[in-house]
Formats: sequence, C-alpha cells, structure tokens
Amino acid sequence: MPPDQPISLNEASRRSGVPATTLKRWAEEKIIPVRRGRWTATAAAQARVVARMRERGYPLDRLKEAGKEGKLAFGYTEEVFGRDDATVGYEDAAAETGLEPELIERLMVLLGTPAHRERQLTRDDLDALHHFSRVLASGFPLVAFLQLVRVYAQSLRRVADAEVRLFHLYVHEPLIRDGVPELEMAEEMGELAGDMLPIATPIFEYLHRRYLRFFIEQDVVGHMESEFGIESGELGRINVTVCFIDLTGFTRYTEEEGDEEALDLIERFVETVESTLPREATIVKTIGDEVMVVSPDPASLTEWAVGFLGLFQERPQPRVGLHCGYAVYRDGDYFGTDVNLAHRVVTRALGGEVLATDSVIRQFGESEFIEAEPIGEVELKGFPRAIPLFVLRSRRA
Amino acid sequence: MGASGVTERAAAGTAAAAARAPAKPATGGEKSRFRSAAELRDVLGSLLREVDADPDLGSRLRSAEVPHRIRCTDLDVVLDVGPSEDPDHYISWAFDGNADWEPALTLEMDSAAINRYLQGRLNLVIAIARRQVGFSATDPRAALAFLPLGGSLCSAYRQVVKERFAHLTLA
Repeated sequence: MPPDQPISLNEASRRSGVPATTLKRWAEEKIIPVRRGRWTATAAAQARVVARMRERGYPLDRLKEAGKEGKLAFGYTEEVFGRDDATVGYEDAAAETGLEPELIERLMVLLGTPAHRERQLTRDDLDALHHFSRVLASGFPLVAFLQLVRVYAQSLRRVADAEVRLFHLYVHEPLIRDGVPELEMAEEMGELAGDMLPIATPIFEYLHRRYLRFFIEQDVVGHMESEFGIESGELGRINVTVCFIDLTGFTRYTEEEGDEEALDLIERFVETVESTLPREATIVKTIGDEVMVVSPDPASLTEWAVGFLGLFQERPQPRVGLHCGYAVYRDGDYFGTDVNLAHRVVTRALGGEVLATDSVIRQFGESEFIEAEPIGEVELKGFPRAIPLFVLRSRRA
Repeated sequence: MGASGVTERAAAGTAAAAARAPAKPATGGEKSRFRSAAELRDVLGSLLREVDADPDLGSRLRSAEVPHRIRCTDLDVVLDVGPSEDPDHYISWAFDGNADWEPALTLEMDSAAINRYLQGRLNLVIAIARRQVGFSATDPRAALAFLPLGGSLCSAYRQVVKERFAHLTLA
C-alpha cells in the first residue's frame, strides 16, 4: 500500500500503538500532519515516533516544532520495508527450521536483534533461519559459519548505517533547510528511497560476486605456494605479512586545518592506499588515520610500502611498520602476537620511514631494489625480548 | 626538448601508416613499444580527447585539480595535463613544455612504462620504489588526489590502443 493511501483511524492506532483518542488530539493540535482528517501510513509512522519521543520525556510542543520542520518525516520507510510484526518464538522457529533454540538465539545475537523484539521472530527472520539451516545441512562447519554470519552482520550494519546517515545529510537536511512542507518532504523522500533502495540488492550481489571471484583466485595462489614448499600454519592460522600504515602529525594537522579538511585527507589517504596496493594485498581495516594491510607476498608489500612513502615529501607524512608471521584469521580480521608486533613496530617509525622486523628481511631475502639498514635491537612494549629492526628504502640508482 | 621536425614528420607518417594497417596485437612485451615520439604524442592525445569527451572521467580528472606532468625519458616527450578553464572542456593538455601552468605532480618514466601503466600492468608505487618511475609533488595532497584516478584511465587507453595502435597491446 502506498504511504499516502488513506487508512482508518483504528488502523493508524494499531500501526502506531497510540490510542485513537490521542491520535485525534495530536492531529487537531497539528503535531501529526493529517490532511482533512485522512490518516495515512506516513502519518501513523510519524505518530509512532512521537510516542517513542514522548516516552523519552520530550514535551509535545518541541515535537510539534520538530514535525513542522520535517524532522520526523520518515514515514517513507513504511512503503519501502512494509510491516514487520513479530510472529513466532524460538521454540516454534526451532521446530520449523530444525535448528536448536540455543543456536537460533546465538545467531540472533550475532545479527543484533533489536531489544524490543527479544526472543520474537518475524517472517523475515524465519526465512533467514531457513537459509542458515540449509547452509549447515550442506556440511559447512558451524564454527566457520558463525564467524561468517558475524562478518555479514558487521559489514551490512556499516552499509545500512552509511546509507541512512548519507540520506539524512544529503537529502533530508537540505529539504529541512529549504523549508519544504513536511508532507511534501515525506513524499519526496519516499519516492527517492523507493527508487533507490531496491537497487542496493543487485549492487550487493554484483560486489559480492566480484570480490568472491578475486579472493578465490587469491586462495588458489596461496594453495599453489604451499605446494611449492612454503610452510603452512595450524588450522585457522595463516602465514602473512602484516603492514600498518598511518599518518604522522595527523592530530596537529586536524588542529591546524579543521575536522572537515582532516577527514577529507583521511578518505583520500585510504583511497590511495586501496587503489595502489599490489593485487595480492588486502586492506583488513582502517581505524582513523591507520590502515592495516595483509599480504601473502612480503616482497611486493615491502616494495609498495617504500614506494608509497616516496609519494609524500612533505607533512603529513605516513609511516609504515612491517612484520611477517602467523596470524589467526577470525571474523574477517587477523589476530595474534605477530599482528600485535607489527602494530608496535609502526609506533616506533618516524614520518616517512618504513620500519620492518628481521622476519621481513629473512622472507624478503636479497633485493635488487630495496636496501635494509639495521638500527639494532629495539625493546617493544609487551614483548619480552628486543626485536631487530631495519629501515627500508629504495636502493640508490 | 622535442624530436627534430624531420624525425617528427617521419614518425607521424609511421604512426599514420600504423593506424591504417589492420590491427594486430603484439605477441610479446618487447614488441609492444611506441615507434616514435610522434606516435606517443598521437596515442596520448587520442586518450586525452577520449577523457575530455567522457563526462564521468573528464569531470573526475578536472575536479581532482591536479595539474600533472608526465615526462617520457627515452622519447623525450613532456605532457602537461590540467583542469580546463573552458566550460566546454574538462581538461586541457600541452606537449613539450608549452603549458601555461606549473605541474603539482611530475612522473618520469620511459615509454614502455607509460604503456604498461596505462594498460594497468604497472603498479606505479612499486615502480617508484624500484626507481623505474620518478615522482615529485609540491603537495602530498596532489598524490592523494591523482593516484586513485590512474586506474580509471586504463579502459579508455586500452580502447584507444585496441582501435588504432594494436601493436601496443600487451599480451
């Protein structure tokens, strides 16, 4: 049903969870925009928000003002997502899907069930559980599957968060600034969201296929290298070169240039890292101005690091810490002592410097292009023995 | 700076003949070379005309606001590219030091490296580490604005090469 399709007062009351008498009063006091007494899904959605805000102690006059300014105009989501009423409990879902109730609970925790829907599953949840059940029935190990679900949830949570924030910043806020009437605003946003959001699914599928193909190729290469005698670790442990890169003097840069400029710099920095990395290297995560990269190939990652720092001849200059070792791969991230060591190494580097442990030098071997200058054994916080470190740079021509 | 007029005319003739000849991809890296400075200018000019006509690529290159210079060390060609002030164009370019703007970023490499880079077969940053490519910039932000764009030129370049300069195609 379109969000501007009339609905009865009783239906509006059911959808919003607000008594009909209160809805009528809110409409008369123009807290909820109701044209000629005709309730719509959009108006009911707004009433639901007003009721939530009232529960949190916001006075009606402030909510009325917010409504007038269009700040509550989110009724467009009604059409996009439809109703999502709770239907079954965990026991019934277990009987239907063949999954244990405890496992369902664990999965729902991983997916981040909203608190108000605790132990209640919608039809969508149930559909997802059927998919999960099929994956497990196909023989995929539970321990790996739980990690995969966590990665899916974390990644898509970030995507949804970004979609909502960017929609708010670049669509909703400008409409509020332009003083667009609230009903018109709700309709305009509804149309845009209705056009845009269904496109997200094919884009996700496209990206997923694209990355899957890339990483399958990487995995095949990794297997081949193992075949050629590169030692492999225990189950779940991977031999990788870990690289941390960050911008020195970034705090000062932010103070001098302002938050927006600093944020712009970070975005460009991460984008440049991503677009220039050797094919086999991967960004694991970014934390502010710090990027963590892993690669199965120490040589190309080391050369990249040296070349990348050559791009920055003035402040703010990046610095790099490199270490080769074993990492535990879990939930799309890499953990373990060797990862921690790589992180400690970058904190000892100066701006414009690539600092590497002796493990990198051993793996890297003699290089035609890179020279390693030993700076001695360095005490690193949290590590019982001093670690031999080297500054890496391009060989003179 | 540039090749002599006679050499350039001769090279232009070779390039034109190549353009008329049926397109045959080169079989190996050794053969995938520019035949002359004139051909290099011709190929780069064709690429930049494609970029300038492409609203997406052209506007991205213009909005990056990074006037940059590519100096070809073996064929002695200098190309300057910058945002255009003409509203009908996204970018403007000039060969052999005739630009009336100063570059914020300069890349120096031989013609084989240019061909490999523009076909997405040369990692520019690794090539800088190996000193196969020279790099200088007046501002670190210039590198951050320019480098992510490099890859997006590849498909336009490959198209230009496929249509008119097949001997430059890398196997």
